[in-house]
Amino acid sequence: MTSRLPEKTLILWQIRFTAVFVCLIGVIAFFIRFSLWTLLPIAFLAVLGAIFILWFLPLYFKSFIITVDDTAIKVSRGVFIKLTNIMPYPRLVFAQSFSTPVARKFGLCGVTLRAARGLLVIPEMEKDDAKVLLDGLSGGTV
Amino acid sequence: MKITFKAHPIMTLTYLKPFLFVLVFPVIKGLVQYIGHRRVSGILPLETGLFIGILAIAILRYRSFSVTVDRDKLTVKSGFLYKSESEINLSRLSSVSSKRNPIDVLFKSVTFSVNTEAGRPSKPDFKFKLYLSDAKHLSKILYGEEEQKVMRYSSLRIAVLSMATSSAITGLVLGVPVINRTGKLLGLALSEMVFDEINQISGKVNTVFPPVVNIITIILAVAYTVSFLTSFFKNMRFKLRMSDEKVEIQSGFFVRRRTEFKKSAVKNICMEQSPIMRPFKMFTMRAAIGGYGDGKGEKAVIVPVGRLRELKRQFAEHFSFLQTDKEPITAEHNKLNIRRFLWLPQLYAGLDITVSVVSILIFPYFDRMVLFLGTVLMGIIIYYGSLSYRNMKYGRLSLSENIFASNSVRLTVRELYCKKGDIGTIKIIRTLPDIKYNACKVQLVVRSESADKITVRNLDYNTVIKEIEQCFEIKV
Repeated sequence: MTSRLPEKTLILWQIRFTAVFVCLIGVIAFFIRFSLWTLLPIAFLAVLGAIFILWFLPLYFKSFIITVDDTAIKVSRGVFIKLTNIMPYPRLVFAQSFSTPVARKFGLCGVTLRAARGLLVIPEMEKDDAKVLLDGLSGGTV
Repeated sequence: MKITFKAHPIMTLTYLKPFLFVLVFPVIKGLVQYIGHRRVSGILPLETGLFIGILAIAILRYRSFSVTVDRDKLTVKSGFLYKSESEINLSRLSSVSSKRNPIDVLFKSVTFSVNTEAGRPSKPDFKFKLYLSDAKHLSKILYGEEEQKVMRYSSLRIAVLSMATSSAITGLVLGVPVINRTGKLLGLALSEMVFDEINQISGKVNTVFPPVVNIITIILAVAYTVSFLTSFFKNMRFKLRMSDEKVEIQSGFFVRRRTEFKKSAVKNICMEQSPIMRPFKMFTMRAAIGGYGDGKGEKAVIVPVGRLRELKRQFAEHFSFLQTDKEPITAEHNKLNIRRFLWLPQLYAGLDITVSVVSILIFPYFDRMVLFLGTVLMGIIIYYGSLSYRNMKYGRLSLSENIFASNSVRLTVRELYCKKGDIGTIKIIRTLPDIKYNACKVQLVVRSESADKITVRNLDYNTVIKEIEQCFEIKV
């Protein structure tokens, strides 16, 4: 079974990063005196943030491919550097789901798979999909 | 059948613990000042507001916590804003431990820790407060009730264990932060006061060695005593319960600790003899358990202290699945090997004498200091020499379905038992003299968080290669 992350996950992370960039710019704006030279780093940061949120994040989340088969769970991701994590079921010790208030509003929850000396984090997916994955993994039926 | 356990209200205090010194105590101190002197510091209202906020979050977090045991899995739900739900297959549990400090005794609560192999070393995966009755019930569900053999150890034995496992460094690590924090809290220069006291005492002691040696000796002795007392009270009232399937360990005087784990979770068993135990010819037996945490790393003491023969009998009785009867590989007992085992201690002794003599000739003003350091170092070298000789006589390696190895690791004698499948890496090390004499050193590392390792020296290279090929089916 191969699946990708839902569109809502991208929106959620875009909201999170926008909040971070706005806070950062707000803090810098609070501590500096306004002039053309001091506005320059703020503008640079804003442009960088916009590129990151509107261009990089969509590509990054689009690249997520989660494959669940009989022997292992594989997670591939990456825009410039492609990375594939494989966790064989015998190595899996326990699975953990996590969610924040905003993620819950979207009906999403993330999953962490823990192995001895290692972990694999799958960003927020649909709550029902996460539940099926967790039940399967913890019950050893996947 | 699903059974859900809720957390004990005292868990609220656990959530407040990180803010104890930065918020809770300053607020209490400010309130006491206000009541006593009618004086309010500028930031007290802000601190009180923050404290109320954090207390509210702590209460909500405690209320949202629950543990559910199903037929084959354990579900831990936690978090108020950041919610998390963990599902653990019961077969994946490494150990559970419960701890009761005096506050827990007062409120009938228990600090319960659930450990798996996935945890960080020295930190349990899940730690929470339960009602005493709930903790007993949960423990019974997870590990069942079997007929158990109970073993108790006398305080004298525990004292020997504490003596052997304590160190001045541990004492410093434990004691210095406590002195610093207490000093900050009381607004006193406590560390300076302690140092002045040590300085005064050392000034009264007249020895051949310079005063700085006295100061260092007193600091180390005090630190060692702190470490010894901590270890002694931690291991006091040691009780071991063994059944066919599980092991249960209870210990502690002020803080009572109880740990249970399945025998199948044991990665390896080590019988160890530290330098202090050597004159008494005593050993300690400990197990490394995947994921077993909370302060002790993942090492559980099975037998605090006993003769090697007694420990081996207990091992054969309770951990027979790790025993091996295959003839071990040993270094040949001949003159050449005695030389090869003892060349390093001889070299170190020569270096120590040379450096000491040269130092005294160059810096005659520091002669007593150099004499002291040289003597201490020579003592360590002589001990190392005796260990090297022991390694020649008793160093051995047995490779079959179970692995057995005996040698010294740093200054501790170690006998290691584990399953073949739990060996992580095998290193065959050959120096130029090893190649000349067709010998090698074999280092085995156990695949666990504590990664116990052992190196057996001067074994015949061809025999080792043959045994590894037979045992692990690896062509070297």
